[in-house]
Amino acid sequence: MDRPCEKMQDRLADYILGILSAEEINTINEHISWCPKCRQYVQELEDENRILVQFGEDLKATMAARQDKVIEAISRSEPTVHRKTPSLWRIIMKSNMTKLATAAVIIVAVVLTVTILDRTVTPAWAIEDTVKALNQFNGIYLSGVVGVPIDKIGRGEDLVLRDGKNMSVEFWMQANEERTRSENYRIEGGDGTVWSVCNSMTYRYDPKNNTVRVQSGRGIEMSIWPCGDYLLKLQEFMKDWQVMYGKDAVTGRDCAFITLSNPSQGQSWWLEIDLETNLPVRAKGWHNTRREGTPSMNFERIVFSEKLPDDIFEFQIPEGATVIEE
Amino acid sequence: MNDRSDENLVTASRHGNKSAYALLVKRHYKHAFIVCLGVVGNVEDAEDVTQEAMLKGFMQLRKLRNSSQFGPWITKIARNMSVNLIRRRQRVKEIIADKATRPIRAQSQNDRLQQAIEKLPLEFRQPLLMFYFDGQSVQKVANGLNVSTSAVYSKLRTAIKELHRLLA
Repeated sequence: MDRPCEKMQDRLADYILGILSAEEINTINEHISWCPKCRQYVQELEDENRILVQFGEDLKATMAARQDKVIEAISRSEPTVHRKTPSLWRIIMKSNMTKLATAAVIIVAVVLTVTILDRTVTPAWAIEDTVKALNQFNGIYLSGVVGVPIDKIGRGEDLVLRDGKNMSVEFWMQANEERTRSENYRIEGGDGTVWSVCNSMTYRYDPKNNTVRVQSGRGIEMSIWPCGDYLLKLQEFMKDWQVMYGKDAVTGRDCAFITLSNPSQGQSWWLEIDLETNLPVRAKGWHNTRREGTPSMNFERIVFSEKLPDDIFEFQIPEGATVIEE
Repeated sequence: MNDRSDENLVTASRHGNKSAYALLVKRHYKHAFIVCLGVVGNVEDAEDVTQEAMLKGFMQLRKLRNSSQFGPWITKIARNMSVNLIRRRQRVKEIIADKATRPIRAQSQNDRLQQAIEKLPLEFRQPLLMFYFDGQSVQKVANGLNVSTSAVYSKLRTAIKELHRLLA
């Protein structure tokens, strides 16, 4: 091919790229009208330009399919979830939610301890049997009602509340290997609130605002686990305990009913232990030392498990929820 | 969910939310792909590298310090992986002293075009592909490459002329 005019080459390229002014375009048109070399050059560049444009269009048309392949590959992959060493105590000390979660265990554990001091307990039940029974399990499930929504508890309400507005709540707790504290937790409130600690990540779902607050570390700490050794240590904290015997109101099974109080905090508790399994099956709490009025905590179901399924604690971020990293 | 910020989606993705990461892919795949294409010069390699980059991004999200910078971050990963691919191929070529050209076969216009594009120097290939792939906007290319529009004009002009020479 004959070469185009040397001084025109850049202008002709600009002409093809469409980056010239109208005046400049007129100048080019005038030039190629009489210069065959430049006219051929422009024609070839235009042909290449059309191929390039089509090439770009083809790529764009197939882009969605490429993205889908990537997304499919990702769906088959496993992410590496960041796990930091948690800094816990500041959060623990601030959050009364901790108290609520801990209290669920205290109700189970502390009341059992009281029975150690109960010289009137019948041979039908001995603390050693309950300690032995508890040591077989690393998972606990509790369901019942508490006095206020979970999120209000987190704002400084007392653990055992006075207003009597009950909200259903469920707890799942799994002990660590040493059985010194809970490793994973999940707490679900009847209003849709979910708090979960799983693999050193803490998730707090607020259904009202559809937000999930995510925190590296254990934002809700359960510093105790109701193992036998712990129960024995608790006896010094409890006052005014009594043990009675009777039948479970629903199942009719033989049970021990244990009551106790903590005058310094103005609280009292009641616990029902199944005499066949020697495990706690129900628990209640009041914000007075006389167990008067509607219980502000009432766990109607307590179930022990050797190990709760891991997926109970895995938190799935709800579709559309706003995630806030803290 | 499409209205969620990159920052929000990155946070969710860090905790294994693949739906959130899928949205990030849809937002940023195109740009990462064209960057890869600009470096490696052919669609097949660009597709492979971009996919690898997106997967790598998912696995290494914890390394992203500023969640709002996901786009530049993943593009940088894609570009680095593309450069590494080119370097590896160059080393292989040197080792086997492979001077041969591609096998002779019937070539479509696209085949010839891609081969010519692949032979363009990177500094011209990148803006050329971005220009034709992304709406033929010089301003967009300038923004994407963080250069002036006049620099883009210059590079495009040279790319057009050089491509013509290669295709002749």
